[in-house]
Amino acid sequence: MDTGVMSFLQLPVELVCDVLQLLSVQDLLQCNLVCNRLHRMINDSSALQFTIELSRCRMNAAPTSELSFASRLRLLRDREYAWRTLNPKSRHQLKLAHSGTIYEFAGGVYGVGKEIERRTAFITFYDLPSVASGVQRSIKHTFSETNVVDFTMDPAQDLLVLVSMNHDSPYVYDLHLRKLSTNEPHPLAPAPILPCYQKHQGMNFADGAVQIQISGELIGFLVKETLLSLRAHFEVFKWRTLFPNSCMVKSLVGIDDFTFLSEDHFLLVQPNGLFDVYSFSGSISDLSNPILRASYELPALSPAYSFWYISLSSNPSPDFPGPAGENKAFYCSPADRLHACCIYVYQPALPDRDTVYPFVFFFHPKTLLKSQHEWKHPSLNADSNIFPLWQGSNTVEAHDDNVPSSPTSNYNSPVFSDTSMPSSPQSNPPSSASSVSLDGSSNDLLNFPAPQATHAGSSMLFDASPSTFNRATPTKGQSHIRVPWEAWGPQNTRWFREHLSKDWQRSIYGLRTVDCVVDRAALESSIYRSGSVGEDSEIGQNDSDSFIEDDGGDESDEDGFIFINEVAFSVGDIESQLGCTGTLPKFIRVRDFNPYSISKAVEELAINESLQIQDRASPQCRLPSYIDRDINAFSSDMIRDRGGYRRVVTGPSKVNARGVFLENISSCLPYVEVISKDTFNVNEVMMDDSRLLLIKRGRGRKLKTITILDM
Amino acid sequence: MIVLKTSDNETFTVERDVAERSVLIKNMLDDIGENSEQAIPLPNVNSSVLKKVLEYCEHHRGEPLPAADADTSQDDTRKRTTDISEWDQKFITVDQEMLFEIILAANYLDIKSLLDVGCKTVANMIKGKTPEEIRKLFNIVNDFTPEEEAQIKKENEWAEDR
Repeated sequence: MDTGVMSFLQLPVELVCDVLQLLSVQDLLQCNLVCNRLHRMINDSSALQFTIELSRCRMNAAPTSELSFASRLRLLRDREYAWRTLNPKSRHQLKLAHSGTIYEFAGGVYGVGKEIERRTAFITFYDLPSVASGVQRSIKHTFSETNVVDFTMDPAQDLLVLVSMNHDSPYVYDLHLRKLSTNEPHPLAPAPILPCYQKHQGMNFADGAVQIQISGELIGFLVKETLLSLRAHFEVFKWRTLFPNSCMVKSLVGIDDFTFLSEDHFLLVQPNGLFDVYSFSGSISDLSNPILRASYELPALSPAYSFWYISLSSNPSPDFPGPAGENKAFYCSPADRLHACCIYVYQPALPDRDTVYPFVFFFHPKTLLKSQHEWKHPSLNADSNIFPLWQGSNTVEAHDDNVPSSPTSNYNSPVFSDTSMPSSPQSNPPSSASSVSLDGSSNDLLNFPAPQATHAGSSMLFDASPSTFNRATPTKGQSHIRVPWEAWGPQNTRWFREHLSKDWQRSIYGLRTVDCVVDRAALESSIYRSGSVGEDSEIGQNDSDSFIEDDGGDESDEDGFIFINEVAFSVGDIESQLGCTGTLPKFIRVRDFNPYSISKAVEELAINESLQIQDRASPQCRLPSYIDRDINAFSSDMIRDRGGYRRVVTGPSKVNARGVFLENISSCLPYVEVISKDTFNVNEVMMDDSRLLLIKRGRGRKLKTITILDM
Repeated sequence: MIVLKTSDNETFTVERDVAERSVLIKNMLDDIGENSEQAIPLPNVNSSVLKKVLEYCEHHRGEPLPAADADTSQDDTRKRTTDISEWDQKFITVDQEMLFEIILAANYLDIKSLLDVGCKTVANMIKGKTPEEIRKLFNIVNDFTPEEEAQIKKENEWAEDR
């Protein structure tokens, strides 16, 4: 050793690997290109290969794992292969004790409430890994004292958050921080109960729907459509911190939904179709003053149309394994979580208020976290004159308590301008099972004075109304940008036609999303059986269209079922309207937006010619004309001729806006789509990193069975 | 006091707690017992390197040793923290040959913290560099055929937007 000149590659292999282990994946890949010897060392090291594979799959390694790198690498590769080919390793049946209206699935735990006399008496939590191991474990937590209206959980932190309404408290809601395993107060929470949304004189209840989400140390809680003078109340709690530990956004125009985009950014969706991205000022420890960073526009609506409702189907909490978590080798990288946004549009002036046009699009939260500078990048849009980025004034301002009860808005949509909202197909909009709506009327709350802003010692109140965008307010050196749809949307989203449904239509985990598509043969035969097929077939399909044109007339059939004009039915609606006793067989469809999955699929598809690569998103089948009448609005996207294939979609696709938006919507976020070979009798499908839950419901939407497919 | 003998037959007399920063030496001392006057032979370390290593041990004497079974390379695969304390930084500012000799010696003598400093230093040298710059840095010849190079570049494509 003491002779000759020592150099890097003369170090023993394990020491070179020790060095390489300290590098980022980017640097590691550069080293791959240096020379054969280094390339071989990287290839032969299961530790380094595991690092690279994790990065490809957008996963993080669990901090503690007893498995060797080699076995973790094998586990990861096997699982990815199972997802890519939709070929589950095993299949189990979850034995359910009861059904209920509130339910949640996160981190390997499925929880479902049981209502007795219109209140949640208990929640049963099923440990899903134990089902696969043969001994099903579950725990039941009973709530005799608390009026639980909703719950959410993060098994990784052994955290259960119960939302209750308390008549005796000065606050409308209490958030109870419990241990998921024992139902005792969580030891990491300095206060076991977080009060939220202060009551005001004469106010006995809130009439809003609530949404709750956990993201690590943060809990977001949204109360919608509360007082007419205060359309929405959003509060973020740092649940492990002592009071004051929250900040809030009160909006005069409402907040349709929210989600956390990162550990210090969150997104609030305005009912007028604006995505407001906020960040906490400075460090995360200072929750007191969120700053509006940017507002992202959705495509422009045609005149006379309004957004009825916009919802985010949020990715579950980051799901990192904690002490109580499932013993995982890796988990989904919190920074790589796909989001889905469901948009429902209607025409407020139409007498038929049931006409709702649903769309869905997917996006990566990273897109919304780009800086102002990046959005000005010429590559995003060749013609920068199309969208002058203008600087808005700072909207983060403490406003006084005497806010006008009806804000003047600067946008066209008649959002919630009066009480003549369309009667919704359900009181609570779809897509999130973790929200509940509460009975009550808002009318008698009309004339109450604007509420006291904050709870004592708590944080700043500020106005998130879009009307302030144009208001010349003194800024505190912060400004936000407004990004037009054309600048951010087409490149960074992928749109589809959506259907209205009571069911949880899709589930997202990491960069994957899963939903069901109907087996066409089964659909046709069930339509025949039910005898509700229209005889005429004058509505033709145009082959050259990349989407199915709807030309539906408003129809009521003899049985009194209303076939809503141009509304895309959900499979569930079809099932109930056709009087099916069971559920239609459906294929499972997984769409993966991970660039590595896409390139891997291209590679594998090239080898296996029986699979197909497509550059454009195009419908997989034409609807036969004889069922057009009934399901003409049934998006082609929801039906498949056959299963067992994959396709890669990298080119742009166009979604027929049906006149709702000014233009048909182009989008081109690449993805790979896998359709299961087999069909399943399933109503809803949910997923996490390693399993699919196939949920079947019976009469009255009661839970019947849950099948677990382990990947 | 402990006597250490290098590959080039130089002897170093050091205090026991300094020498015991090396787990190898510590284990040897435990084996041969308290009263041995014998010089401990270190045939894999030359005097210039040992001098440097003992400088490190002297400075860090008294600090707690990492637990014997803490195999950090197994658990935190992404400990990309390549921060080095100011003194260590100054200490490790040596030519490449000495740097690699120190890494080898730290590995042989089982001085975990010194090995870490050495590996971090090399990692910091590689960080952000192109393959060509890395070759230049370590005097490595590119022995890929153009086809091989193109193939690896293609395999790396997935990471471009990362």
